Amino acid sequence: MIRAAASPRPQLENLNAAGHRGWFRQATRKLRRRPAAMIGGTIILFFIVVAVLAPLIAPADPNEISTNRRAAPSLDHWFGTDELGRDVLSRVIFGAQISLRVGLISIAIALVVGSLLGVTAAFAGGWVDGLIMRLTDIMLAFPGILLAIAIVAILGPSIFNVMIAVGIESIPAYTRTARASTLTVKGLDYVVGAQSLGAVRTRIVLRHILPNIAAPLIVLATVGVAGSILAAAGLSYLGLGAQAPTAEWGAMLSSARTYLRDSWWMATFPGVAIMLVVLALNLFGDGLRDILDPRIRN
Amino acid sequence: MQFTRRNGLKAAGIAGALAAGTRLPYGALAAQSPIGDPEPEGEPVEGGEWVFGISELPDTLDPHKTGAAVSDTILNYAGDALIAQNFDGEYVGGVAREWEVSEDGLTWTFNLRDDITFHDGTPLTAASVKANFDRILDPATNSITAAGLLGPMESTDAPDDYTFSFTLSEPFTPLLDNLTSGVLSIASPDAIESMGDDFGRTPVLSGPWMIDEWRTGDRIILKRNPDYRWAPEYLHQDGPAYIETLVFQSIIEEAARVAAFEVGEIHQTSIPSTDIERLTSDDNSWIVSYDREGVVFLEFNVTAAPFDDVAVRQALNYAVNKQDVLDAAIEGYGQVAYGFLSPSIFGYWDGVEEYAPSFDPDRAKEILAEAGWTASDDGTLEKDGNRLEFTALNLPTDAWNRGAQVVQSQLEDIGVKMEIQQMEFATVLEEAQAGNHQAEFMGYTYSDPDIAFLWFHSSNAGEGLNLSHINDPHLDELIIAGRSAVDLEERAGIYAEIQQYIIDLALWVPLWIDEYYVGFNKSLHNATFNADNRAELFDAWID
Repeated sequence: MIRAAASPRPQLENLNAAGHRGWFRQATRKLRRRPAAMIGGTIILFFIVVAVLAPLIAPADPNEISTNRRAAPSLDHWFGTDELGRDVLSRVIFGAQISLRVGLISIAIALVVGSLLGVTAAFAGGWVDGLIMRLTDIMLAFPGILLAIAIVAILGPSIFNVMIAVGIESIPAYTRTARASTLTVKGLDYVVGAQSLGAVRTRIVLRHILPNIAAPLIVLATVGVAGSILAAAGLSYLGLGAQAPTAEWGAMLSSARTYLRDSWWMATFPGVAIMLVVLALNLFGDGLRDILDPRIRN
Repeated sequence: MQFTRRNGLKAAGIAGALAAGTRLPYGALAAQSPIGDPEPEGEPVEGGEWVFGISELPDTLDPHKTGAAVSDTILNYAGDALIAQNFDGEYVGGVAREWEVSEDGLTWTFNLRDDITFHDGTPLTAASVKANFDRILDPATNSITAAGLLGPMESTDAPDDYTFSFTLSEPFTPLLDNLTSGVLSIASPDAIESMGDDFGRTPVLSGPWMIDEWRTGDRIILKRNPDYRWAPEYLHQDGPAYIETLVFQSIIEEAARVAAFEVGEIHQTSIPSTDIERLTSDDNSWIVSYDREGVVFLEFNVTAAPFDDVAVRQALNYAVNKQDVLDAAIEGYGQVAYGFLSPSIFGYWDGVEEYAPSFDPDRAKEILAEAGWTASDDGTLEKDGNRLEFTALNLPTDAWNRGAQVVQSQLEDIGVKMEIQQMEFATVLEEAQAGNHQAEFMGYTYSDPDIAFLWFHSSNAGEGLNLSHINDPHLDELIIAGRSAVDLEERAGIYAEIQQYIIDLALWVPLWIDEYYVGFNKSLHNATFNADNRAELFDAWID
């Protein structure tokens, strides 16, 4: 009896771990069969490489001012120059660093805080659940960008505060998703099993719950990065984000709008960059959802 | 805010509004030029609608309370002030037929017209004027602009129905011009009483147009006053204005406003420097330009490091290539600024161009080296472990943003690191008044050298516009002497000394003086650009 009672535990864990690895391998294989997702993934990869290698591949210092103002695209300046004579290509390249960083960090904030709150709500139940979910409802009642503007207005305009603002604004979606998934998983046999075997809560959450609610959160985060890049660009466009002379795509669009009539390149290239990244993340996110969504999977 | 500019120049707005329209009859006055055809043909046509494109609507139209420069413009069309200024810049009767100033300059007596009625039908008398002035002087009114215009006014009096007088505690030279301001238009005391807060929306005045409606966030509509027969002598006397409706349409976005002007949706608006070239060749509009009465500058807070050291402030004055800044910021439509006054303001001292530091980065580095600043590893200067870096607050105006970035890159060349922090005007003002800042980009529009009192007198630190927080007894003395000097030559001499002294103190890096462009739709005839850089429309008509 004693031996029998001891043995299921390692077995359960092994099974779970093996299933986790299989899930990932399966997902990658399925993803390869989806061209749209692959294109999205490739573009994202491209921008990541550009961002990482920015100092090496940018033809000029993105903040170097010259008197060669608003020069049309040419061999010297592939994307032309802006209103202060800076090389637009270099600024777009360095802008990738900022946009990706903002996207990743703000969503990381939302993912961590949101999941934590969601899992807590689902596990604790009762008034804790009620309190967390009502707070979430209140936050959801505001249009996201408005909430972000309000937060930046309080904290002061800077790219760092934009990350925080966009992160906070995105929390409710993750809280809700994490809570719903946790509630589903919580009742499943292996969790009940682990509980009845005396596993502590932290262990159950970390080993059994989180890996099994990860899929929807990852999908949400992928699309979320796109949303937060767009929101950050929007805030910078409004002058609430990156401060001059930072080469941020939204800020570049903002200063280029005055010249739309006669210097199209100033707005076009950062605009295209934003569009590509956001589109790519959405394509990739859609692909991920198709693969990971249990309803579609089954 | 010079009337229809973007909110960036609201800064100026305050200063500008404080004495909006302050323009003295000495010095070289800008030409009061006819707008468009100098000799319009044909007879005046009655009716029509003239739409001004403005960047923002006023805070309130209560003339005694407003702080917005655009209010002054609107009130100029809707109200009558005690004194008017003709097209030659001379002061002529407005509500007052004539006036007299006592020899000591302290008592002013006005003989008022007896034929004026307010838009609500009540007659305008000396008691109404007194009620207006008393309301402005009453601290409970919280007058932002109007009270400043009255200066050291102590008491008012209305000895009979058409005689009004007041007494000053000391002579105040800018007052005569201030009395022509739109915000000192005489309002109906009955309406102030009966309308309560609504008075700020549709104030009741006595001018050629009546404020009919204010659509929040959208437009303010003025209708012609059909009974108006009391225009100043330099305007037509035989009836009301010709144009039926004036509309002040708010379009915040510059590009959208210019587009609306080009398609004829709005008929008059300021033209941003980036569109001037294209629009001057446009067949459907007339473009009128004038120089800013004022300066755009980078100002240092002398109570905050590193600018508590005059050497640093002086070095920065050598480090900035102003022509480059001007070219990038406003496409070169303007001139480089040397001192705190612009040449269009009385008292401008020619010697300032020689006296002021000119672009010389080596000299800048030398001064900093003498003051003990040495280069650190990354090229930024440092002294006793403190790096020579600072944050400059800036307003969200495209032109200023471009200018600030050029300054930033020029300072970087001598090892000074400047961060630009863009904020709304109200926030910049608040931070700078509290002295929580190191430096800020600012600008003003004002037409009297008494602007020195607002920017540099120690009494204006904290609540006022002394944003450098300079507290210098010698400077205070000079400023007071300047504002009470009656003899023009003596006054000019004092201001020459102040201009020199401000350069010695290096409180600012004066940057540029804008050349403003206003576009008018060609359907307008017989309008004149007056001494206040405002289109006088009373004699004008639209076809």
